[in-house]
Amino acid sequence: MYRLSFLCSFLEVKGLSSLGRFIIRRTLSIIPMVLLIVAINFFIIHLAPGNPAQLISGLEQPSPEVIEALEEQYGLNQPLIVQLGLYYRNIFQGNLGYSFIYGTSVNGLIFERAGATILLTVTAAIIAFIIGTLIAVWVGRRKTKVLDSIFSVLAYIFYAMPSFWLALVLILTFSSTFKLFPTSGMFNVRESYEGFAKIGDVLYHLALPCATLALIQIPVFFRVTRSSIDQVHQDEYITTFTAIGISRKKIFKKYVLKNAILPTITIFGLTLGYAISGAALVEIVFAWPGMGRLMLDAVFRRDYNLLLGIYFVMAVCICLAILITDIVYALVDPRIRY
Amino acid sequence: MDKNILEVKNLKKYFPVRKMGKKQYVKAVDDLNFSIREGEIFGVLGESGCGKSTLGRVINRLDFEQSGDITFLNNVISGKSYKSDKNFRKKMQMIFQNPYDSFDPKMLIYKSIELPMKINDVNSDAGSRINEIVETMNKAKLTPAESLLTRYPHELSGGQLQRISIIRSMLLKPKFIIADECVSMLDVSVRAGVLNLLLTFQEELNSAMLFITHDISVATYICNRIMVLYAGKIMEIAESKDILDNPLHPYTRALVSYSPIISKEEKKRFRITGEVVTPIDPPPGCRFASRCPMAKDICKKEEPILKEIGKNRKAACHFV
Amino acid sequence: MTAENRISLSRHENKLTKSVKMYLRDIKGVIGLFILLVFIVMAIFAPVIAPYSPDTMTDDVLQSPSLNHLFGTDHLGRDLFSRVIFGTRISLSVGFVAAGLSAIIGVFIGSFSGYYGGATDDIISKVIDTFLMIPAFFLILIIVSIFGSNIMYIMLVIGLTTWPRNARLMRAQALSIKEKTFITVARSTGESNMRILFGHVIPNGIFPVIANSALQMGGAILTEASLSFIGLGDPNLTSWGKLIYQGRPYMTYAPWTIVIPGIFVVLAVLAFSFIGDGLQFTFNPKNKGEK
Repeated sequence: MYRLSFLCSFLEVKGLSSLGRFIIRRTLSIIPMVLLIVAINFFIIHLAPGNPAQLISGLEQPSPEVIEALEEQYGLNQPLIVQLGLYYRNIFQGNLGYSFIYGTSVNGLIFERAGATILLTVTAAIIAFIIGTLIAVWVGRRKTKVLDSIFSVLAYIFYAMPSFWLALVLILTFSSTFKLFPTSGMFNVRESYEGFAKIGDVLYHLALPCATLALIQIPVFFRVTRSSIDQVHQDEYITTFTAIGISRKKIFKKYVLKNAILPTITIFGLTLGYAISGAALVEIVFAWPGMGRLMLDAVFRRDYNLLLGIYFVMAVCICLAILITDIVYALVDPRIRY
Repeated sequence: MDKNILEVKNLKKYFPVRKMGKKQYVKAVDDLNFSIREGEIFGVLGESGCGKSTLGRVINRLDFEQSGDITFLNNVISGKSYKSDKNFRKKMQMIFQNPYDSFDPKMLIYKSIELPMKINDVNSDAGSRINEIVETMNKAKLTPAESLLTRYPHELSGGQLQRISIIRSMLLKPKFIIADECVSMLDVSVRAGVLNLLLTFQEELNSAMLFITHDISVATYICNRIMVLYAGKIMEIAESKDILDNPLHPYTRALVSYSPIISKEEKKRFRITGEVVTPIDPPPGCRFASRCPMAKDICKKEEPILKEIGKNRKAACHFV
Repeated sequence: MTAENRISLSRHENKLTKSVKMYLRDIKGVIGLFILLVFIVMAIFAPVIAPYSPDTMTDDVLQSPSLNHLFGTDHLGRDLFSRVIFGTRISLSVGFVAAGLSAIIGVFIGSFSGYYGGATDDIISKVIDTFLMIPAFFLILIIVSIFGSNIMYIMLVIGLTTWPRNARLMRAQALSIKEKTFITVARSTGESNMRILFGHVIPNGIFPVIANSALQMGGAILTEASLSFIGLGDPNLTSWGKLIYQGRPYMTYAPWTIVIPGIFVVLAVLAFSFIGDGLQFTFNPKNKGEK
């Protein structure tokens, strides 16, 4: 902490703007978190029963060459602290290890699947953001108790739903009963579409998984916007505006909305950050070829190196999402400066 | 001559503050020397922020000094924490400013009173503890005792709470009491009652008291001697009578002339302006110089020493 | 002694009634409590309530709900109603044990960290922040898949990964409580740090943790259900999540096998979030004024 404040006073001498300092400080504060996450990974491997080399390989009976290669790479014969150092070095060189089960690098596997996950999660987050905020604004503006209660209860219910179960119910309703949407996958494997047809096909497959995720996330956006609208309404300057005779409509549009929407930026950022973990179960149900599906395979094939790799990537994504959200928030809200 | 119960020598308490990465110190208590006799009521007078509460906390071993010696009942207590030391805690008790905050809100009053007795082995069995509490409550005219004791703190008034917190301390039969602004948060109407209760116990137990206050009229009313503090330094120590009738230090004179009850003669008003300076790395010279109407060049350069002036009387000023 | 007992009891009751009345003013909280009570009764009296043994297989496979089988039967002809009733036991115990463990760890670590402060507190808060940030579900999943999916492990791991939120709540409470005069009084009268911590700091600061624990019970039930759905549930026990897992292959022609256990999960999680919000409402000092 002292170091950090020293660094900051140093930066001040250099004449950096306060925003610049804020960004640098937030970025630096991510580092210990990432270090801790890697350490957790490391200790899981070493606390687990059995031989770490075998665990990392994920194979029932790894060949002596494999064991030797792993012992070399992770320094498994050396003291624990050296091993931790080596583990850090591997990770920070961007090397998440080798999946012996897939016979390829973990980096490659994750990279290959990332696209599908990002497509699904970003689409769902945007839809949830739009719908959740809109409903909250609509309800918040009317101030009718009945409408408010109905949506609040709905928000509670959807918030309480296990994502995988909602996915199954949607499949039952829209695929099995009405035969409107496909139940699994990202493409129609029997046809090979090109161009727009291909995009259409992906969107067609995207509909249900995306709807599931959005339905679960809408309550979050709804609640945050709803409560921040209430919060702003209670602020004294709003009371002042009402008192000096500005119309309700104008106050709402010009002041309430603007201030109430700010917290949802944070939620949007966090939703994106947690998307990979949140979408995993939905991906599994819909056999969506993303990282969640990869994770499930890793669990069943006992491919721990891959599992830890996914976990690490996920954690880093969250760190970055939080960082970016904080910075965006600082840019939008002039009150935030540290 | 009476024996001293408490002796303080060269006591310093600095609080570190961090400004732009540089380490600085607030010299809350700076080089204090004084002693308190057995059975004496010794007042510490000063504006808020002069270090008087810090002094009380250091003596009560709630805060710890930078340097200096404190001798209590012939034992050197400085340098030790006396954390949960029954022998020490029982002998020295402190009464705090805020009665509403001095009781655990989740505890019934009698629990709050009983706990210190239990911890410090006053009366071995619960029954006799309760009896003594009820008796003392009745003596303090806090009746009906049973009903008050089984309430929660938020159900009582500030005056009641402060009297109960005095009782709580006195049940330990301390030799030395530190009263830190113990009536300043109470309504004027109940202050006298609380002070009288405090004095009754003090007399009964024949204990000495360090009475911390910012109110010169209260101080002169109950104290034998008064020490005037300004920005962590002693300005003057004298008998209450002398402080009142013939204040020597310009700061004391200002305090006396500002008190509407004491100062009847309007013309003698001795004006000072501004606020207490926070003693963060203070410049050399007299701490009071920046506000003193009598200040000359020497006051900004040289720090006045605490001179002996007459019997039982000391002041720190170049012009006395 | 007798006087003390007699009077203190009546006062305590008084305060309790006040809080209860406060809580009952929140409709959501009442509904949540009602659902939870029904579930608890179901769990305790499962053998009495269930019409069939949950594990007896019959030839009536995948029967749709009827008067004979209220919730229908599964692929092995077992009565789903009985299985759901018995599943309540597993799911509720996961909620109580995991959230209880999480609360205990969180209260201890948070109050220590906040009360003692200093460098230890800096490090602990950093750890708390990091743990809060990374999704607990994945950590649980990895640990369970490596160490095995015994129900004790699952409860333990959920407890061990979800304490940071409680710790943060408790730490904030400890930070503000330790500045109160009554803590100084306690130190001044010679109470030891342990006594202050357990006698004053924790009793005065635990309510946010209690409210949060209710929410975490729901969370633990969801986590266990998700683990079971992936196939990482305890192989010997049948929780609601496990029922969904078992019904999934047959869901197109026997939708009740997945829909009904799911509704129970939703109801349980809903009840706990109602209760948690209700408790927050009760202990929110803002609501104390309007009596």
